[in-house]
Amino acid sequence: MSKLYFFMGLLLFVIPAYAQISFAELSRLSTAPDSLQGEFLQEKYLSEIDAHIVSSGVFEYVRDKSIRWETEKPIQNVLLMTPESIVNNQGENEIISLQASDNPVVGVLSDIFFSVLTADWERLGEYFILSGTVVDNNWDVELVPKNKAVMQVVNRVKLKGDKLLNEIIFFEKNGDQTTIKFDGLIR
Amino acid sequence: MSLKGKLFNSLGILWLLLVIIVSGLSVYIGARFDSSIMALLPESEQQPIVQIATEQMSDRFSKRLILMLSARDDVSVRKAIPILAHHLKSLPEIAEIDWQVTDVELESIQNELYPYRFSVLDQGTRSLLLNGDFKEIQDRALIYVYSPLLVGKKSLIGDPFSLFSELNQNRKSDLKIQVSGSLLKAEAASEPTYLMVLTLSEQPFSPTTQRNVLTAINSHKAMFTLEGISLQMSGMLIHADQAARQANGEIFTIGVGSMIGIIILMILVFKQLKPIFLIFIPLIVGCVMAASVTLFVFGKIHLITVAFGAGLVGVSIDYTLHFLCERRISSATDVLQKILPGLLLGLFSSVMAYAAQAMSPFPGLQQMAIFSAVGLMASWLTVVLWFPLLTKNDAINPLLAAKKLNGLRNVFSRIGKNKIMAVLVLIALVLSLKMISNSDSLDDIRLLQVSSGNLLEQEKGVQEVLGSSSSSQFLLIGGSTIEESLQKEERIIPLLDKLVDKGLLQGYQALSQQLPSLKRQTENTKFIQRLYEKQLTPLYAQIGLNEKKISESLAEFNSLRSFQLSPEVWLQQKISKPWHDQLVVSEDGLVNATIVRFLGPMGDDTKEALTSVASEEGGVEFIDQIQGLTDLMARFRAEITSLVMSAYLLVFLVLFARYKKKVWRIVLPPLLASIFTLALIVNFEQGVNIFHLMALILVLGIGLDMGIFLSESSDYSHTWLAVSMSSLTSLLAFGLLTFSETPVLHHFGLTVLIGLTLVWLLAPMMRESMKGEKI
Repeated sequence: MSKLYFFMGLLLFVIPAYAQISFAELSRLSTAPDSLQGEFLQEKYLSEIDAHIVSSGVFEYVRDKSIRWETEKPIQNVLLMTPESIVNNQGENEIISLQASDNPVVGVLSDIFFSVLTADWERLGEYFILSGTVVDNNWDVELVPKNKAVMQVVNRVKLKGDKLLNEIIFFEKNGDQTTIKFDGLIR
Repeated sequence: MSLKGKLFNSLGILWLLLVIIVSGLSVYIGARFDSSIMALLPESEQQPIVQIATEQMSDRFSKRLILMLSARDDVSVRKAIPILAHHLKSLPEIAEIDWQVTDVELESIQNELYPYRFSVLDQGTRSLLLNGDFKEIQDRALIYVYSPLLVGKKSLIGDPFSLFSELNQNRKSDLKIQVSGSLLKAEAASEPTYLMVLTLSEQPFSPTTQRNVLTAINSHKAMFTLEGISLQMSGMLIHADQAARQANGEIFTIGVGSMIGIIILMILVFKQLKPIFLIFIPLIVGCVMAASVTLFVFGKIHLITVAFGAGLVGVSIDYTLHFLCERRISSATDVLQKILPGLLLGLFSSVMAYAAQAMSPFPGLQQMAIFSAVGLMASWLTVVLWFPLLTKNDAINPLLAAKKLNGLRNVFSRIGKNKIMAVLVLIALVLSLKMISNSDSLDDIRLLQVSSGNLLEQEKGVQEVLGSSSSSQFLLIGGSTIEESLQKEERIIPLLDKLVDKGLLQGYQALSQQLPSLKRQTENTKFIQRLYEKQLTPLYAQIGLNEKKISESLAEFNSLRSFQLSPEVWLQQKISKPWHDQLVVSEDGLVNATIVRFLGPMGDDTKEALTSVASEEGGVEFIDQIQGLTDLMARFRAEITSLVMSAYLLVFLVLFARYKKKVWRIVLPPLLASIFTLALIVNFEQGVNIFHLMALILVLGIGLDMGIFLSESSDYSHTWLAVSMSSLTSLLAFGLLTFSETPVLHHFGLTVLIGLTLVWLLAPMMRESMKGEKI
């Protein structure tokens, strides 16, 4: 009996700690840099074929302007995202080009990606409900979309970091996962 | 009482009964009014398919009302939308409201085309396949696989080359709308803006529909304004409402104005109250009978018919005044004998001229012809049958005003006696004819529009945010089957692309982009088969998938390769809804057509280019409704001119039979006045349209009456008073329309104003000299 009480006490103690985390606190812990570059390692798990697909490369971010996402292995590809468009280049060729004005999803998508990558908590708050924990200066956060349209794209997002973001995991409705780890970040 | 008197009495009673029955019957049926400009125009003489297409496109515009709600605060607008939608849903005038798309709906709509991914392709994929760039499609698929973004990925087995994602992403919607939280959000707006599309159950021209819908919207609008939410509207309904209200208001004010003028005039001349009441009896009987008969014949009365028709019936005031003036010098039994030949000839000439319009193909003119002819005859009968009874006990009492006016008339030179005057008139005639022959006609249909700047601004704002396309200019691609039309369209599209490259076109929306022809779908599937044969193995090898997965993927392709999107299936799909208007099917299903719509404004060179594109394929036509209606107006203006001229030729022959050589005294004043008026109008208004001509017919009618009555009269001064008064009352009744904001009424009024003044001035110059007259 006393053990049960202890557990309940622990729960009562722990739950407020979870609840307390806020976008404001995260803003204090992390920094939203004006520019950021580094390496990434991406692992996609595709549930349908039960396969892990790994790629790596470098990225470069300039606040409110662009994200340059260069996959180096196993294929060469540059993805350039601006708030207005998403363009894929392979060598000289423009392979996929989407304009936010033609395709509203592009706008939301690049907005979310921009915000996630730079831990822009205020903007993320527009799209997601937040929960998570902080241990020392390391934070571990989970985001659930408020908007059903965003839910169509992503079910849940997990972010880990300290001053800067270290890891993102996107969970999709069909069981697919995309994990991106960052390394060698330079502000 | 004589036998003749008894006969007259019983005829009078019969007439009274008829008036009571007819007007009672029309009250029982109930008057229904119409204010659509289009209802005045003839049924198209084009092929039925062109007609159906034109109707379909204009219906889409006229029955649709778009409401746009915006505010700084997203939440408040989102709250306001369902409130308004639920309220409007209860109105019977609204057939449909589109304002939300639930998530379930959204997902099912997005996936409707998934089974057709091997036959319905986006343009980009298709051109890569056409160029044989299979490797590029594989690269594109790999980019999707490795992309950090999650959009558009469906299944690596079912759609390894992301054909469906490409199709979905390149699908440009008709309007710049995004589904945001189940509501329709306008993406191009600067503030959070949501919209609601209402489809009316009937045409927007019924006053009840206008009132009920707009009252409901405006009551919310007032509430929303307090909450900082602005509401903008776009649609034919608001224009129709404004036009109707303006016309109604003007008819009322102008009506009251002329009524007061006429009453004052009557008091001044007759110095009695009785004639004032008498003068309105034939007018009222005429209008009631005219409206009733028009209602019986057409089922509905157009507001413009009432406005014009009531005006034309106003000519009947001639008969009343002629009778009343003559009555002052003759007894109740004698008066009719004296003036009946004149009255008959007057009625004949006017009814002939009005009835000629019934032969015009304009339903509007036909209505007016019936309305005015019936109205005139009813008024005439009222004067002839009732007035002798109504004035039975009135004393003979010559009018002072007649004497005064006659004195004034003698100041005018008579053309027969004054050579200088004759020369001046001749010079004016030559100058006028020259002006008329040099003029351009003004037949633009847009003359008929009356919308205020504010409404047009609102309209423009909504159109800009939504980026919608024109509904009055389009390419119509006809064929014996939908398949044939779609194939033609696919052959034409490369030509349109060239126009876009040249900057002549901003863009276009073709049905075949949504629903490719079956021929093209078969072709597409063949291409995809080659793509699978060449690239599936390398693609899977790259990702590290084994043979088993390859055969799984091939099996899925093979199971779907015969799936084709038929027009029937497509029409059932929700995704096709915004495009339904672009498919035209005749009632018997034998003639089909598709429509290519265009974005942005269109210049003359674009129109030319599109006409030449249309000539490339049989059965393809560039439809320009505005130009078409403008041409039509011009053609019917010419047609009415010849109709009325032949009517007057007949009138002239009848008059000639009676008056022989004197006929010029009757015919010349209204004819010259018409020519001078036309010349002045050409100068003031830079052209003549059908509504000026309508007014000239009225001028001719009153002018001829004037000449006839004067020739038939025994006492010149009282007849002259009568015709002068009727000119003046007509001027009061129609001349005031000059000040109307409605272009149609303005044209009419101005012409009457100038024309009648000129007739009145010219008639005494050409009069016959009477005994005891000076000069």
